[in-house]
Amino acid sequence: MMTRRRRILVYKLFCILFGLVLLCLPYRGMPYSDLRVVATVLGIDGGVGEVSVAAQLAVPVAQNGDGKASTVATAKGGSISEALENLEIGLGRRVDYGHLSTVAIGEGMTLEDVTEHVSYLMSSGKAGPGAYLVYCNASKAVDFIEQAQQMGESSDAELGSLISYSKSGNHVATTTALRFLQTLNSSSHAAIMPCVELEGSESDAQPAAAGGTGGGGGQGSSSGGQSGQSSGGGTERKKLVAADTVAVYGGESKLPVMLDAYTTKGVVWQDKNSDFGLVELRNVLVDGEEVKSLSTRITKKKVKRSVKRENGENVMEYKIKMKLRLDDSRICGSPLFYDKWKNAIEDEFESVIQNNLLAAVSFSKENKVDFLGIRETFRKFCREGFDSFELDNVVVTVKADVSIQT
Amino acid sequence: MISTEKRISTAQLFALVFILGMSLKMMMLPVLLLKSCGRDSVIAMFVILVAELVCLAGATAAIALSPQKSFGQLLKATVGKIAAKIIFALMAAMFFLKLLLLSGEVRIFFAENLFTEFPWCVYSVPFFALTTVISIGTARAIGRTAQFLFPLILAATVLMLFLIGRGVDFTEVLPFGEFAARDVAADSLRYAMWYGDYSALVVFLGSVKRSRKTVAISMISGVTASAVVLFFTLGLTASFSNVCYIIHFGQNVTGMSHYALGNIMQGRIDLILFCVWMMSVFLKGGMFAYAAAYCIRAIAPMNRTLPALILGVTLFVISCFIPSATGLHTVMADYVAIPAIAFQFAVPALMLTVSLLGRRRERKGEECERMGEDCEQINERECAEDDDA
Repeated sequence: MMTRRRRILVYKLFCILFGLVLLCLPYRGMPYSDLRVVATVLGIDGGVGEVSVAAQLAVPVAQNGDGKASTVATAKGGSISEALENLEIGLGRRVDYGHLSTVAIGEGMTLEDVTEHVSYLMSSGKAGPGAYLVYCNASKAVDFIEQAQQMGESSDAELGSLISYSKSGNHVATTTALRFLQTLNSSSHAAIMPCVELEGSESDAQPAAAGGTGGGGGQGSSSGGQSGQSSGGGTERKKLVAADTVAVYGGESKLPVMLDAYTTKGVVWQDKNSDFGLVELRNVLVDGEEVKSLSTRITKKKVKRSVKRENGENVMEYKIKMKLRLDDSRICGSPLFYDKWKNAIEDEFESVIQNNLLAAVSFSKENKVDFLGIRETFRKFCREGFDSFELDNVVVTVKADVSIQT
Repeated sequence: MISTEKRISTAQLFALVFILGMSLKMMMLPVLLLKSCGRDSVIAMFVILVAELVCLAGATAAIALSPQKSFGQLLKATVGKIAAKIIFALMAAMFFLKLLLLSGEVRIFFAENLFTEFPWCVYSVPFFALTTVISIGTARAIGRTAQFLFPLILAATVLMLFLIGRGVDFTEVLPFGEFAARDVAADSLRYAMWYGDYSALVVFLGSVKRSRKTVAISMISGVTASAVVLFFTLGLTASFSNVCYIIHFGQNVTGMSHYALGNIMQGRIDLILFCVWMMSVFLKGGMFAYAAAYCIRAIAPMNRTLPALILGVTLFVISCFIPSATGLHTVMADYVAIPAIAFQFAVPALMLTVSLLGRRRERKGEECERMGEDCEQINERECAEDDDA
């Protein structure tokens, strides 16, 4: 039997031996913190043959009070893996992608290239499944990130913050890398990507919140997030804007199809993941009186899709149930509210939801791009309907039930 | 007979069963099944877990019925010394291979997620040392350690599964039936080394303070562990059902929690949770090492330290010759699957058999004492009665 002293001696010898082995083993990496940077946003342009990448990087810097500085680095390569390798070579530092929050796709990237790049980022472990995807509406991703970086001192997390806030606090569409690939590879073969742009570029400098126009048919609208800082003392003001449009990949076109604001709302209404944020009615006629603006916030949202085969036709029904909290106490304080206005406003919201969503369905049919995932829904829940599926022949009905709480 | 003070309690058995049922199966098995069977991996996992619960029922019934003697004593009394040694040699080999597989899974996880720049020895050697130390200990020490760590493991598991449950669209699992049932079954059986872990309960036979609720509590633990594994498999399958090609072997519950967090600005809390959860994997490795050392001691009587050291060193040497852990997967799936299937069912069946026979012998011995007669005289009388009949 080994005595206690001898056993302790064996353990000590083991620890010393292990330490010696560690010293002798070669290491491949550069573990020092001042030789590493953390990528928070990655922008990609181009396809196989010439790929450009830009990364917004957080650089650990001891001298600064906050211990962190940010910079943007760009690189090119024949493929995305080569471009990312050249990025590290150019920086002279190892780039960690464990905190990569957003991947920005440059304008005009084809479906094949997007699939290739995003698949590579995910399969190599560089982008986690929860990294957000955005489409740069009016610029290359490299230019977009460079300009976004110039907006201010601590703009290193601007794009990431904008997107993550959009997901949890704003009624706009967001998508992650995994969700994009998952829906693209489904039987619908289509996926959406929310757009971002810099206001002050070539595009129209309208605020992102698309206002409704017209009388009784007021549009529901979301508030596009805005984040801006003035750049220096010049008159030009750039703002990072989550545009109220989405890019649709899929169908017959290799390039993305852009949805307008009205159609995009339809997509957002039926998105289960977009269940917070501001929704608005503008210029609504209620009992002969015009309400210029009516703001509400979503407190609860349920979306249910049901599919069936009825009389030889494929029928899909959306049931959208929402609870809204009135943002404007002046309206709910009015004695007319409960008597006349509440039901009328609820009806108006329901009408808006139906119109928006049916517009999205029409767009999908006209352009033969099933970005609403109708075919995939049939595949999951109605095999008979899936076997004889034709997007043009699907009858889609929308039932909206809106309840306003005060 | 094992003294009461050295036995493990029912609560400790609960913790051990939970750890045995969950740990290894939440590392790479769901990924392997997903890559082989697609959406039908959920069905395959369900069938595997049901079979495992049947084996658990057999093992816990054996523990409940056994006459407080160790498995070694009962087996030798049943089949003889030579046959018992052969059986122990086979069991030692299987437990060692399970330990080797577990070490490979640990190696993949750390290499893919945490220590991508470090040689594998850095994180594998401490694991080998840990399993060696655990295998030197007693069953009670393992039970007490499991009981102590169980709340932390359970909390980490619940948090991770809560995160996954929030962020995953489970309807993406549908539709089933993409692959033929025969192909799904064949692929599931290839990964037999990844399950059948309740066989390790063989070392606790005769070492449990039994109560009326021992079997029920053990089964509840097993069902809970199975539910956790199935839930995770559902989450993984729902998330990657259309994109199995991008999933890599480091993708396991930590990646899922990270995805479901939804806001990467919160940092990598999933890794912290997973590192806490990993204690269950280390403990399971210790149980396999303990079981292998137990079998080696049953073959050739020796002190506790020597077989443990032999195991640890052998594990390290073999690991040096394995270029990658995925190569180990191929060996386990292609060459050891059939013995693993037999092992999974044979060990609980053997436990139950020797327990029942041992219990019968014990009752006969008590009857002899009560009647005050020589047992040989009773046997002779019974034989004579049989001849007459």
